[in-house]
Amino acid sequence: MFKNTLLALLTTLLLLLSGCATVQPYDYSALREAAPRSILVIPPINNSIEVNASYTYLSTISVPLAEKGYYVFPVSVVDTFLKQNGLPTPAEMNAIPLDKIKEHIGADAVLYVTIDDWGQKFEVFSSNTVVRGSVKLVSTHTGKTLWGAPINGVLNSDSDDSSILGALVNAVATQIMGSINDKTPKAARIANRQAFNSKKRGLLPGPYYLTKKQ
Amino acid sequence: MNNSIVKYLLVMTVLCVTGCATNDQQLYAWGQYEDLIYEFHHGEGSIEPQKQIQLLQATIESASKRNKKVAPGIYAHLGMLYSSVGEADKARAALTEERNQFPEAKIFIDGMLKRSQATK
Repeated sequence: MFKNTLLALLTTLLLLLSGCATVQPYDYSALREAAPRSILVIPPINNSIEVNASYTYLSTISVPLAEKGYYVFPVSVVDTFLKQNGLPTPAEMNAIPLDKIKEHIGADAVLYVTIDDWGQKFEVFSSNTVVRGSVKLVSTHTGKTLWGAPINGVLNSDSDDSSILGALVNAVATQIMGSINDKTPKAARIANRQAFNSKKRGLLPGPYYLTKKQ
Repeated sequence: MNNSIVKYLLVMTVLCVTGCATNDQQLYAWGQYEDLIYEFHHGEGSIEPQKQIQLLQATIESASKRNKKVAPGIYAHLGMLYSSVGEADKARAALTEERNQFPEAKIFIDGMLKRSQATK
């Protein structure tokens, strides 16, 4: 039994260590050269069957990007602005030429998001909430891709800690009912955390993070 | 001796696992901003704009009490809400504040202010 414990620990340790070592670091040369200060997030292209996916994802992206130290344009305000200017859907918004974005919004870079899979997957005894897709950061000055990553978040119903009590407390605290039964924002936040904060392939810190930590 | 190996491995494993978890302090006060974004696009009026304005104002007040910077986008979002309930002066003040806090927003906010003047 003792031997087994030893073996199990050794194996876990090895897996953890090797897991860290085999990740190929991202080539950050374009991002370093461009050093964007501000990022505009365009409402995602949605290839999933869930119609709400684009705007639910949009409600999870400001915190991770801004906490990385970038100025993030107010996503709902920008969306309203684009709709008022004759672009009613994310598909059309994703086709705006970069020079127009630079001219009217003044963003250094645009984050393009594609969602491929979104929502609850029911299995026999449990259900998973899944968010899958990819993000790509593009410079409005040069058109170069500065950074990109797959996004991949799974929230398992067994490991889900948002108990009914927690939800109720939350409801009282925030008075916001809509997002409580929807688990996809949480899965999206898991996906974002992994993509943006990955040690060797995550997004590099931006100017506000760097000034704050110095 | 065997015991100490197990202990050592245990400690290493724990360190490896916890090392992956991030534990940094946030740069900004966010309040319910992201919930309000969700609400703005899916809520279909389940919370009145006045209530949303109140929530953002509360975030701004608590941020100043805690000496924290208000997160990017909050003043601009507040400006949009004020504008939607016809409070043009407060809308302009909030938009201007977004630009003062974050000069990166200048082109976008100046455009909004200009258009709001034009429709007056």
